[in-house]
Amino acid sequence: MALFRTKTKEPDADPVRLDGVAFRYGNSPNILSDLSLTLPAGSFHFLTGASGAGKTSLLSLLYLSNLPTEGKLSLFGQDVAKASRNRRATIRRSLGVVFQDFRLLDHLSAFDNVALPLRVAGVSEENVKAYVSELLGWVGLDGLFEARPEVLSGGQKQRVAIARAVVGSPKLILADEPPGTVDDAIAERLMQLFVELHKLGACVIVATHNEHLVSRFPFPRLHIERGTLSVLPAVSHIEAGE
Amino acid sequence: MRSDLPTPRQSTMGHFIAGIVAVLVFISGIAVSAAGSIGGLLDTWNASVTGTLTVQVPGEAKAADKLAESVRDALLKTEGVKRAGVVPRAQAQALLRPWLGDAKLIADLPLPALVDVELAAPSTLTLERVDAAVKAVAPAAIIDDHRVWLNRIAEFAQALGYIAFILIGLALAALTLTVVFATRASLTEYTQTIEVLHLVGARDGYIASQFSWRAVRQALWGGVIGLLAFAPTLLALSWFARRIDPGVLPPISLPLPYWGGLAALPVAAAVIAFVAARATVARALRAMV
Repeated sequence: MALFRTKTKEPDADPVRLDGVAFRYGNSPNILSDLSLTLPAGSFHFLTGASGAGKTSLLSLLYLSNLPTEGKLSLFGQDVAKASRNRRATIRRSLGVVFQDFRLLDHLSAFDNVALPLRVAGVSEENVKAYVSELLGWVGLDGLFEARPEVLSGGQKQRVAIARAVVGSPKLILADEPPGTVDDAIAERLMQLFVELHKLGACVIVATHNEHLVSRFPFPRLHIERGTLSVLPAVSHIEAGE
Repeated sequence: MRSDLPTPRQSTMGHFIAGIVAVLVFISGIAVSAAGSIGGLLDTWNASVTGTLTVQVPGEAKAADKLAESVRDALLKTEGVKRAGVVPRAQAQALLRPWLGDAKLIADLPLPALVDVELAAPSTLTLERVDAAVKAVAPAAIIDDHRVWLNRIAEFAQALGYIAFILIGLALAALTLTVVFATRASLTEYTQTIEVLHLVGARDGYIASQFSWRAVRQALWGGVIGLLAFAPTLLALSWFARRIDPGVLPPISLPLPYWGGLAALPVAAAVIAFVAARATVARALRAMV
């Protein structure tokens, strides 16, 4: 699949590096504390933990919606707190994010939603048309290019959201998986898409509650419990060892 | 420029900015044309009234008429006087007939002899020369140069003109405030759009441009609609003015610079909209990481 490639300043730097990162909203207690972790290019992790454990907060730091209140977060070798606003915008173009609530723009067609990351990056309309059409076809949304999100099913919306996340060939893919919107056959296909991108060198993090999904793929888990993070081996490996 | 924002039809703010700009441009148009017409009116009055004056020579009819002829001769030799003529007594009496009726009574009235004077170039110097020439021949003569009357009218018209400019200023101030608040209000509606654009890597300048060019388009539209609605109003006004005796009201006409001012109104609205939208969006974006 020929996807559009964005350039990063330091292609060899680790996509994610956390040094003693803590996060809280205002004066409330820490939601995340003392997280240290390095995720290299081409790694694939599930992000697990109970609801409210801090999965979404960690993702919000990684997709630059929030900044750490303590410690240092580096994406692609750049300290995000010190980066200029334009620099952060450029870093965001190397990210592909699938939000739990999709965050599609209701006034735009499926095509235009998926095209958004390319258009804000200044990609020519000719290339936009080529990449977006191919990708929408690949996720099984042929014939729905002009459909607005309001007429799409939950599963179709998720596929649009995923297409938007990966259209720019991101180096870091963050997916906050909504439980039970996609049937298994499609979930399988979409996971294959992430795996494909991971094999091409992208760093992938999929936040999920779906134990079935976690057990089917041989990827390690980032587990958050009470604001702290531990790296656990793949479920399939544990089962294999038993 | 391609827009990622909802079209006005898709948003609840709809054509609000365009509508308010149309109304304000219409009001400003009325104010500008009032200011312009008053300016034109003053010019016309200056030209037609200060260019003429009347000399009254009092006294017994025959002597006064004779003296008036001497005054006329003296004035014709005075520099700056274009034309001077004695108003025939019969004509002066005829002017009074509608009010006084009886011809005999009028003939008995001690009417002054009148000399009608037209100046080539009305100036204080010319008026002084006229004064000297008249006084040399007929010391008792009275010169009526209409200046006092004109000055009061001019002052009044000038005040109206200032009020018109204040109106234009107020309309522009209202326009600025409206665009600022409409943009702020629409930001609430577009929070999700702004967030998503921000998250997929749009720079602040890109997002601000989307809003500012949209505001420019709306303001230009509104401005043009306001002008189009105003044009027939101006035509109607000048049509009514033309039906009045031209001596009372000169035709309502706008000097060329005022037409320029009218055409500049939609442009001014667009510039205000651009700056206001950009500043408002930039502030909202600074609150995001």
